Amino acid sequence: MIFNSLLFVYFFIVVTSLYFILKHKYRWPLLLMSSCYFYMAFVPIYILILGFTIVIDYFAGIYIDKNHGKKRKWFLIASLIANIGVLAMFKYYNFLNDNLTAILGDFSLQNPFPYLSILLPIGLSFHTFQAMSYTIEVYRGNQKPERNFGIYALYVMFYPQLVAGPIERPQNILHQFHEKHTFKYEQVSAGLKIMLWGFFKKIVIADRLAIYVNAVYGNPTHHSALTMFIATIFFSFQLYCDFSGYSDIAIGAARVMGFKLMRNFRRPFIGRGFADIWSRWHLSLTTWFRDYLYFPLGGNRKGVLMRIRNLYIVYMISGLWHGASWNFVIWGFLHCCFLVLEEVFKKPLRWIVKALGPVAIVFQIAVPFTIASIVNVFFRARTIGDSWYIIKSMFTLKGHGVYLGEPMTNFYYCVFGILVLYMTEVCQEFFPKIKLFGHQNRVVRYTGYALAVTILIMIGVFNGGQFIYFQF
Amino acid sequence: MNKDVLRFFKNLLIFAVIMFIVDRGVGSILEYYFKKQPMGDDAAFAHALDNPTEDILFYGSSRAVHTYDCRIFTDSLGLSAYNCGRNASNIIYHAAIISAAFQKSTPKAVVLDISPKELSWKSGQGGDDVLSAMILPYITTNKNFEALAKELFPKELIKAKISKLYTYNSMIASIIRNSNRTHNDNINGYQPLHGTNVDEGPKLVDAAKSEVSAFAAEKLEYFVKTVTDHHVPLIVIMSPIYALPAPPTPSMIETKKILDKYHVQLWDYAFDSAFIKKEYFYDLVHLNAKGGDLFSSLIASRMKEMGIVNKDSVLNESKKANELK
Repeated sequence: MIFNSLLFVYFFIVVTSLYFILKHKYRWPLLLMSSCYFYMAFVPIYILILGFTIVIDYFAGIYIDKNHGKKRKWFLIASLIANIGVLAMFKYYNFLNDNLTAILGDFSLQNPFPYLSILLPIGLSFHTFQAMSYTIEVYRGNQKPERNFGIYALYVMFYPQLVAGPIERPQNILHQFHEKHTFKYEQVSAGLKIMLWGFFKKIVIADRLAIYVNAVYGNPTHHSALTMFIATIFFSFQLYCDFSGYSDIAIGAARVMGFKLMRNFRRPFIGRGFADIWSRWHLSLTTWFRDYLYFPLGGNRKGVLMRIRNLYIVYMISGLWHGASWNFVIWGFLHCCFLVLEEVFKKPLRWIVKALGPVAIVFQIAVPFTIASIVNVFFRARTIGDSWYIIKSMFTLKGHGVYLGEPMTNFYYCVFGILVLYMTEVCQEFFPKIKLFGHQNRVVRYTGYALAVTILIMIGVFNGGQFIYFQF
Repeated sequence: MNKDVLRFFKNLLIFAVIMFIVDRGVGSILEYYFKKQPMGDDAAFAHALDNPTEDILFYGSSRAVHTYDCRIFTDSLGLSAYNCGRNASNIIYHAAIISAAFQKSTPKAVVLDISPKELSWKSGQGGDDVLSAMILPYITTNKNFEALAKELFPKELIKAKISKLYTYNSMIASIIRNSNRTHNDNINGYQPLHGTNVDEGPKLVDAAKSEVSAFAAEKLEYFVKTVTDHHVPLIVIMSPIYALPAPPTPSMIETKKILDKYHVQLWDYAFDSAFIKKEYFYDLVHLNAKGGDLFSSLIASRMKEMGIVNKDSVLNESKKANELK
């Protein structure tokens, strides 16, 4: 089930209403059953995979807590192997196999392993990481193991964040399933506002931009350098609005029922520099890698070279987390390169910023954003060859003018959507007192809601466009 | 009941009332300007739907819109002409609007431009989004469209009936644009494309595997039957595409069968070597203004040579007169 479907609207109304009608002790079974239904709406059989890791991690958590010394470690390792094993099997098997075929082919040898035509279970990387964070936190002693199997299963399967995050930590969410939430107007209203903004980002901006981006990236040879560049910039906005739109709907849907999920984005395109962009982008994943990979590798503590090494490891694995393809590894690698360059040239960059004065902020935001968008070509294009062709095309004087889309008016909606997004985020960042949805005056507030819904209906794209991050 | 619950439902009700008023208010403004558009696709469509009284009427997708220059037909045949084609449309749409051609007068000839994959339409695969967007503004006034919407996209029909704003989804920019334009690039429905985006030689297009939609075939038959029942000469044309000659697609074979049944000619120029030149094409499937002019002249002179408009129309008129007697 996808959030931008009528089915979800019915589902959300029914589940939320029942949640508040039922007694507290029946709520978690309701949420668990709803989450199972939500997940099974995609490919029902894959719930068994989820069930398998849930059982393993549930018992691993209990046994880690019960035991001491090396035994604890073995239970943690068993849990990690089970989780990573499932991920490797369903997500990376064919990728590794293809590479093996290529390597063996160089030596005129045949690959004995067959190609498996398996469909990647939706959101596998998300719930696997969430499950792993549970056993790691129990091992580290930061979290008591959950004794109620149903509530533990709900921790992994909670429907708002099941298929595309935010990737929660047990300390933040598990205890919330035990707490009794009452219907509070402020909380329900806040949740619905977050959801409205999420739907706006997905339906009005992301899906609109997708029409243009798909048309251009689908036929890169037919478009000019300028068109490729516009499509590349548009794709960054599409990616952000698609994913943050999903996160907002998830956070909002949970908030309506009284659950507080972690924040996933903090206006990344207003970030000044690569480090700042990354400190605002997909926070639940970046902090996951920070806590469970970067810090254990040594983090910043072992000198500059080790820090750079650790960064490369984290970014390349993060790339691979997104998709089983060298495109994503290169994507992670390049982002890390620019991050390191920014670190290396910190001092000269500071002088430039000082010399430019107040104008510097425009460059601090625009330059890294543009470079990051160009790197994102590796995220969007199908193959390394396609990515390279598109990047090359952008820097040649390939003619044919500018493609404005079919129909042309689509382009205007794209620009309008980006302007609304930027204006909103600039206000949130620099002028937090200017509010529309959160204004004190009821008339202004309701005007804001009505305006958002009107724009949503008038220029939204209601073709049930899939969320990009579902594939991960 | 909890105080907060009451407050929530009270505010929800207020918001629903506000949205209903906004929906009807803004929707009505959009409807007014939509119908008043002096030019553009929708204005041409309104003409094709309400008042197509010209002698020769052209139907087809964007390939027809960008190909048949009505001025050439008027100059060559001395008859008025109108291009009722529509961008991103297909036979399902043409079948829905063909009856309008016979409401106020009877044309002297009808030309239908089809593509080699015309009947390989699939519900739910692109196409019908565009079709629903075209049709929804007319569902309250046109029974054909309402019936079509009910059959093809019942959910869209319900949404459009609930929200007037939704009916005009994605149209505000084109309404504003068409209302403020001074230059009309739509000449009796014909929209020339200038220049070329073709930079490679023609390639072989593999369309042989695409299946024929029974629904699309039924609509083609309906179109053909409607025209032939009125004893109006119908010419079905496959205008040129920038591709190497290929074996007939299943769609082409099925089209031929239907046309044979009604003794209608198919003028197949799809892979005509005289036209497969970069300078005649805007892209791989659309002729540009130069190619369009040349092709229109060719069709006009062929119609003239074969006496399709003059002889048959005279014949038809006398037939009709006899029938009336």
